[in-house]
Amino acid sequence: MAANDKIRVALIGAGGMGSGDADLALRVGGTELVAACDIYDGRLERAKERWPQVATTRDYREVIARKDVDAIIIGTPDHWHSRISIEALSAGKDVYCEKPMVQKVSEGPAVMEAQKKTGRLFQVGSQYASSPSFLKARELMKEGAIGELNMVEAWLDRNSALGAWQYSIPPDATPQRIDWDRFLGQAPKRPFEPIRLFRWRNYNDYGTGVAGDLFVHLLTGLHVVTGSLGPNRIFATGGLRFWKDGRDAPDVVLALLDYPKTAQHPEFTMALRVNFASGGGREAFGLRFVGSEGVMVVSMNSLTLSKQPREKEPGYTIETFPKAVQEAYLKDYRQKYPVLAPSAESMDSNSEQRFETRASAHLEHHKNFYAAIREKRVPFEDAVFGYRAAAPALLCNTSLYEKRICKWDAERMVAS
Amino acid sequence: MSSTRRHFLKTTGGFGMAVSASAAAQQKVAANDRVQLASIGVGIMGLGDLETAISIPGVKLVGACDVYQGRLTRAKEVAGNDLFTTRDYREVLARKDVDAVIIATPDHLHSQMTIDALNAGKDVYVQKPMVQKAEQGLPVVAAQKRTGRILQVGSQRVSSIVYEKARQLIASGAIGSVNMIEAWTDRNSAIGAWQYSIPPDASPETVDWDRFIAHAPKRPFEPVRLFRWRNYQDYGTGVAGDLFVHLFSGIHYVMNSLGPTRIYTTGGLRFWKDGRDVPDVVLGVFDYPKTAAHPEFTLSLRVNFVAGAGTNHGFRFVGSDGVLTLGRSLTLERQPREKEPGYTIETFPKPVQEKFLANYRKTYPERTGLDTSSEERYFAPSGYSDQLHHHQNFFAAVRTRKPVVEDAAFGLRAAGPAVLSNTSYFDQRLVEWDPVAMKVKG
Repeated sequence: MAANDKIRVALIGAGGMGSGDADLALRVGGTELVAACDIYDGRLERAKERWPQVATTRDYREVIARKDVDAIIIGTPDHWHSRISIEALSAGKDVYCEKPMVQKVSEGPAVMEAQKKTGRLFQVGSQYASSPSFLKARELMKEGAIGELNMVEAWLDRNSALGAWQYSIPPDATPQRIDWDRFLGQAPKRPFEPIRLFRWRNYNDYGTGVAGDLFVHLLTGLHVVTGSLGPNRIFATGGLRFWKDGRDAPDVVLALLDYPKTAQHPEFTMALRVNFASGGGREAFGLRFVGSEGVMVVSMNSLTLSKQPREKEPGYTIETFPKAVQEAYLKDYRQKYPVLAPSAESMDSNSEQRFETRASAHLEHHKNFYAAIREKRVPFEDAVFGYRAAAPALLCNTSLYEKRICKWDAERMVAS
Repeated sequence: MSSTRRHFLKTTGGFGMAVSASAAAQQKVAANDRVQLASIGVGIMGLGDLETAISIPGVKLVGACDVYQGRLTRAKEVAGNDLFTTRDYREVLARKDVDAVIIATPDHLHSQMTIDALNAGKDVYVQKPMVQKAEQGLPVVAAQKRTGRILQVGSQRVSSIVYEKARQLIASGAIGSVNMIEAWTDRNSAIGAWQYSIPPDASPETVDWDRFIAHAPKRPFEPVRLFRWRNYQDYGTGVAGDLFVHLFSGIHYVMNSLGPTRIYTTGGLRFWKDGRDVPDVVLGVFDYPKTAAHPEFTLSLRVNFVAGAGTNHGFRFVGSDGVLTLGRSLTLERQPREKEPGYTIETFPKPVQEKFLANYRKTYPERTGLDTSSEERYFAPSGYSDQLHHHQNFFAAVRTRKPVVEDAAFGLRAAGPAVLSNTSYFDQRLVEWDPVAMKVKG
C-alpha cells in the first residue's frame, strides 16, 4: 500500500464500541469505511444512515471475503473475537480487535499463531496502551521517580445502570430483525431473548464479566507502565450484590495478583477492583503505583506524582528505658545522626507534580494502528501483549467461579 | 443469643444487662474501691497502657513485670519506688493485692498469661492480637467464661466514639447496602516498620532471655529479636496479626459482624530486609457472608510499610447509596441513586431511536429539579482519646462486673482471621474459617 492510499476499513459488530471505533478510524484520516456487519438489522440501517456508502451484511464472512477491505475492526461480543480474528488474519486483513482479545484463556495461542503465520497486523483495542498519561508513567517509572515499586492498586468504580451495562434494548428487537443463531455462534443454544444480545456483557456465555471486560484495561495499563509480562499467581473474589437483573456475572470483584521479579521490575503485588455499586461517587478509574520514594496515580488523562525522599534518620523509641540508658542511647544516636542546625538547606523536600493531557487515548490508539499499517511495523499492543493482558484477567473469573488460586506462566503464556 | 451479639446490643443502649452469677460471686472490687493494677510487659505498648490506666481516677499501679531489667527500673521511675517489680509474671499473679493485669508482652505469650491470670482471679486487659495462633483462642474464651472475670482486648477502636458513630450511620442505612469495605495501614518509616531502639545495656545479665523465649524455639541471646519481636514469627504475628487485627476489630464492631469465612493474602518482604522473617507488604481479601446483621460483602485489607509518599490509615465502607470513610474523623458521602437509567440508543436507526425515546419518556418524564448529594464530616472533640476511653471502659467493667464489648470471643473473632492471614500468606493457600464456632474449617 502506498503511503497516500486510503486504508479501506470494515466494521464487524456495529454496536456501541464498534461504531465508536469506526468513527475514530475515520477521524484518523486516510481511511474509508467500506462495509459494516451486524446481526441486528437496526444497526445496519443505522450504519447506512451514518455512512451512506457502506455495504452492509449480517454475515461477517462476506466482509472478510471482500477484496476491497484492508483492515477490519472487530467490535462483536467477546465470544466471537478469536474466531473472527483468525479468519480475518487468514484472509490477509489487518485486524483491530476489541478487548479482551479472547473470551477463554485456551483461545489465545491460536490467535497469536494466526498473526505470526499470516504476518498481518493485529492490535487489541485497549486504548490505555496508547494513552499519553500511561506513556508518561512508563517514562517516570523507568527514571526511578518513585523508587522501588512494591505495590499497585487499580480500580474502576461505577454506580449507574449504564455503567453496569444495562444498555438499551431497541423496541424492534424481534427474531425477524435479529440473526439470533449467528449471535449465539458456538455458545449454548437458547431461545430468542434480546436482553442477552443487547446486554451480552452481563452473561458468561458471551462476555467476560467485569474481570475480562475491565480488569483487562487495568492490566494493559499496568503492563505498559512496568514492562511486565504478567503475574504468576491470581486470586479473585466478589459477588453479585446490586444489579440482580438476571445477569450471571458479578458486579463487585476484587483480585490480588503476584508479579514476580523480572529484569524490568522488582516483585510487586497488584490489587484490582471493579465495583458497579460504588455509592457516593461518579465513575472513577485509576492506577496507583506505590514505591519506596513516591506514589504515582495515573488515570486516563492525568498523572499525579508525589515524591518523598526517605527519612534521613531512623528515629528512636527509648521512653521505656531508664533515664540513664536513654541518655547513653541518645549520645550514641546523635553521634551517628547529628542534629542539623535549622536552616533553609536542612528542610526536607516533598513534591507533587501533576501532568495532564487533552489527547483522546482512544483516538491515539487508532492513529497508532493505521500508522503501523502504513509503516509496516508491529503495533505495541499486538496479539502477544493482548493475550498477556487478557489471560490473567480471564483467570480472575476462573479463580472467582472455581474458588481457587490460579497459576499463570506469563513468559510461556500457560495457565495451570 | 451469642455473647458478641449481646454485647453489641448493650453498647447501643437498648437492653438491660444481666450480670452473670459467677461474675457477681467473684466480684472483688466494690464500685468505689480503688482498682489495683499490675502490668506484665512494660515495653512501648505496656508503658503506654499503664500510663493511660493510672491517669484514670481510682486506678493504682502496684506491680510491673518485664524480662528486661531496664524497663523495671523505668517503671519505678514513672510510678514510684514502692512499685513491686519482677521478671516472673507468676509472682504478679500470685499477689493478693492485684485486682487486674495489663498483658502487653510479645504475642506468643498472650494466651498462656491470659489464662493464668484469669485462673488466678484477675481481670485482664490483653494487648491485641489476643492470641498468636488461632487454635489458642477457644481455651481463652473458655477460661473467661469459667472464671467469670473481665477480659478486654486492647484494640481501642472498639471503644471509639467515631466508630460508634459509623456503626450507627451504617445501621440507619446511610450508605445503603454495604457491598465492600477497604481498610489500610500505610507507613514509611523505620519506627513504623518496627525498627525499635535496642538499649545499649541489653545483655544476658539485664535480660531474662529464656523467659522471653518461653515455649518458642530455643535460640542464643540476640537482643534484636526481643526488642523488635514484632519482626519475627516466633514471637509476633507480622503485619497481619499485628495490624489487620485492628482493622478486623473496627470492621466487626461497625458492621456488627462475626467475621469472614474465606481468607486469602499475599505480599512480600520488599524493603525492610533487616533479618526479619515477616513480610512488609501484605494485601488480603476476605469474604463476609450474609448474616442477620449485614449483607454479603468483600473486605480488602492492606498494610504497606513502604508506602512511598502515602502514609495514612483508614477504612472505606462502600454501599449502594454512599461511602463512609473512617480515620481520625468520619466522612459520609451520600448520593441518591439515579432517578432514571439513561439510554444507549445511538447505534439504533433514527426511527427506532425516536420510538425508544417516546417510550422512555413515558416511563421517565423529563425532570427539571436539581439532584442533590451530600458530604458530612464528624469529628471527635479535641483531646478525645479512644485509648483512654477503651481503658475507662475496662475499669468501669471491673467495677460494675458488666461485660465489655471487646471480650474474649470478640478478640478471637478479630485475631483468628488476622493470624490466619499469615497462614494464607506463608502456605500460599486459601484458608476457611467458621466465624460462629471460631474454628478453622477443613
